[in-house]
Amino acid sequence: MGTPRFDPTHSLEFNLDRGSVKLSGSIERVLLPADALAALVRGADVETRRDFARRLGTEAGRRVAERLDGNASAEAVVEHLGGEVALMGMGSLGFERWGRMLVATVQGSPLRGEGDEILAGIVEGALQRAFGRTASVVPLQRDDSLVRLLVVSSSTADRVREWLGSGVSWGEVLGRLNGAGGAS
Amino acid sequence: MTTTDRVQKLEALLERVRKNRTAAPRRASAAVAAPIARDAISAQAPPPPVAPREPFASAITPPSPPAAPAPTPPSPPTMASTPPDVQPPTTPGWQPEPGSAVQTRPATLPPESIPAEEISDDDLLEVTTIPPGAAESVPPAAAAAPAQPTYSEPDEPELIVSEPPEDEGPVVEPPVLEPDAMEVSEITAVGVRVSAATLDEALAGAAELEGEALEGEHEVPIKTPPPESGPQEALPPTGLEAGRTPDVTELEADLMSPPSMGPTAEQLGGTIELEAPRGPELEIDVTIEEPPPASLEPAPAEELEVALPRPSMQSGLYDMTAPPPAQYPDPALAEGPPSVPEPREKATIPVEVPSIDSPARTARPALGATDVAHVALAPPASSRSFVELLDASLLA
Repeated sequence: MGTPRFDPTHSLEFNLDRGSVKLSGSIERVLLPADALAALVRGADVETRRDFARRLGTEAGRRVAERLDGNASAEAVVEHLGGEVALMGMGSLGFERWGRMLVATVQGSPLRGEGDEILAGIVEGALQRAFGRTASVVPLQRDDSLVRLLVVSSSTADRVREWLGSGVSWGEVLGRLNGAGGAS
Repeated sequence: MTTTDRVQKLEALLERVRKNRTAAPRRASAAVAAPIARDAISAQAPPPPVAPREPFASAITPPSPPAAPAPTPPSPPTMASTPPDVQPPTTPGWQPEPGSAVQTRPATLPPESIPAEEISDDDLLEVTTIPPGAAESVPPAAAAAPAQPTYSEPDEPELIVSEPPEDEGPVVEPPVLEPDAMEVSEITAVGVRVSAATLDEALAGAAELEGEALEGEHEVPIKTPPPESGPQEALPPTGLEAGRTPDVTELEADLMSPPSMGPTAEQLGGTIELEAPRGPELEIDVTIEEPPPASLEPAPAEELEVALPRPSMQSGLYDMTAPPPAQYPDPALAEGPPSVPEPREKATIPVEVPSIDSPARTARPALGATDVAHVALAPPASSRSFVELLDASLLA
């Protein structure tokens, strides 16, 4: 059976009589200005921000899991998960393979640099909910519109943060991770 | 010299010849005589001191000393004025005749009272010195001419002739003669010349004899002397030919002179010395005048020049297809007979031509069905699922 295409038709329902917005029949949604949300996130602590982001990702993962199974290809995952992130208004999602390492990219996030941890939490929640894998997503590199998020285990995520904190370039980090993996 | 003097001389000469006519034939033998033997000469009385032979002995015998008066006073002093009583140192068998003009060479020089310029050209004609070698150089024909009474054999030998030894063959030893002996033949020639009856004949005969004598003197000895005889000296000609003979002494002096360092005074005789320039110094203007640029127009042709035809094309080439100019018409070629090829013999050569129906071809051997091309398909980019990729990344 083939992978269904992502179809966002009538995914967002505005009930103007009741004054509510619903997304694919789920609970109601709130339309907020991005900078206001960014200011709110910036004022919250790390665990609050991580819970907030994970909840957003778990909801997106649940909808992807409804359409995709465990054998879904990367393209299919990008298509459906990316569609769900796009409906949230958090940017365009993609994936890169650097050797054995899997890197997720988000283009055009409205939260810019202050929303990278929110994005990393969304990816972690979605992967956990859609594929049942516990993964740690560490912001690796960012430019004006693109942010690269490295998907690793929790133990590896700590070393990457240590390397990046010590000044190691993101390319060197990818090299080290591919070398260490090959050696082990 | 006037004609009268000349006639007097000739008359005196004729007189002397007539006196010597009787004894002259015996003198002729001296002209054709063989060299005189040394024995015969040595046998006679010791000769008077003989002056050394000069390389270029004068053809003129010095005049006789005043002690020997001439028989004919009017005649000029000549060599023939030897008194008859003088005994010449000759061979014992030979005695000079009373009327003979033969005389011996004076041992001493003539006195200075007799001027040398008195010797005229006539004297040269009368007395001619014949070198000793001339005796052999006389042509045999002349020597054996019996018709000439003056050259007839003498009645009795006056000179002892010594034949050369047979073992030596034709080589003749140079004769050693006394100077007196040489002059014997001289007078003999004069006697022959005067044997004519008339004065004219005597003159003609004297001229002939003079020529013959000169010819005899110039002839080179026929027989080559032996090498051991040493270098031979060619005696200079005498008589009239002596004047044309170059002075060897002067030539030798010229040869022995140091190399010329420039023109001689004689060569510079006509040289004109130029005076030094007077006036202001002149300077040469070295300004070079450049010739005017040659015009492109052709220069007018001279009379002997022929202008070449101008190129017919702008590029300077000649159009070969253009007709020749009028002044150069086509040459008229003579039309020859049309060439008719000669018939040739034809022969058919059989050639083996292969038949077209069955060409011989070489075919490539057939090959069986085989996979010539091998295509390697590229593996799929990601055959693994997203979960596998996620797991691989988590295990790193």
